[in-house]
Amino acid sequence: MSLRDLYLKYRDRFEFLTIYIREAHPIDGWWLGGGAAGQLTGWLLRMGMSGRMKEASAIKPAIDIYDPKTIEERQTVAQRCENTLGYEMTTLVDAMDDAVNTAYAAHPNRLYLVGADGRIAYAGGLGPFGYKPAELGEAIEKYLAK
Amino acid sequence: MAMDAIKYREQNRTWQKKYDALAPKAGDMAPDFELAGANGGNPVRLSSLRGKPIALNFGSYT
Repeated sequence: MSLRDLYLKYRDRFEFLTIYIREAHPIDGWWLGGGAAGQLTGWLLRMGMSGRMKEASAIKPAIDIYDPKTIEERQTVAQRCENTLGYEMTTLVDAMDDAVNTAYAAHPNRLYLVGADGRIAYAGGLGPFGYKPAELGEAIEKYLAK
Repeated sequence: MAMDAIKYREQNRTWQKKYDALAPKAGDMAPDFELAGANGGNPVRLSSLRGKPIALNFGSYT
């Protein structure tokens, strides 16, 4: 089950927020490249993100992004990300001090479920390999069963 | 390019090792924050949404 599947299934009962954080693989950082090796690595990472082969092939993360140096640049990339990846959920943008990313140890990607009482109900593993939407789905079901 | 990739990979791993140990665990209060949307407006404070469960999806475009 992909994150988008979860969003479509549970959006009436849960708030879904995407927090755009600093780039994982910008050109001026740990770039995976645009060659065959980069494409393969990106596909494998997306497999981890989506949990489904078909969806992983449909997700098209960018390979031409420099790490934003200003909040305006970060917002521009976040908008592009929001439009392209089509999660449909509200996107918030971390500030340039990366405070929220740091508080949640979220880089490169991570999932959490916060209960109605403000406590962490599920803390996903560190991405890409610990990023498991299916596990979040199980946590949501467990939360609803309480 | 390959040397840069190795350098940045090691930087990322060092960062992850440091902060992953401090990441909130199940049962902890979620660290509060207020962030603006991708258009620079419509700020959302996490604690203002209390009363409804929230799925948080952290990530980037690459």
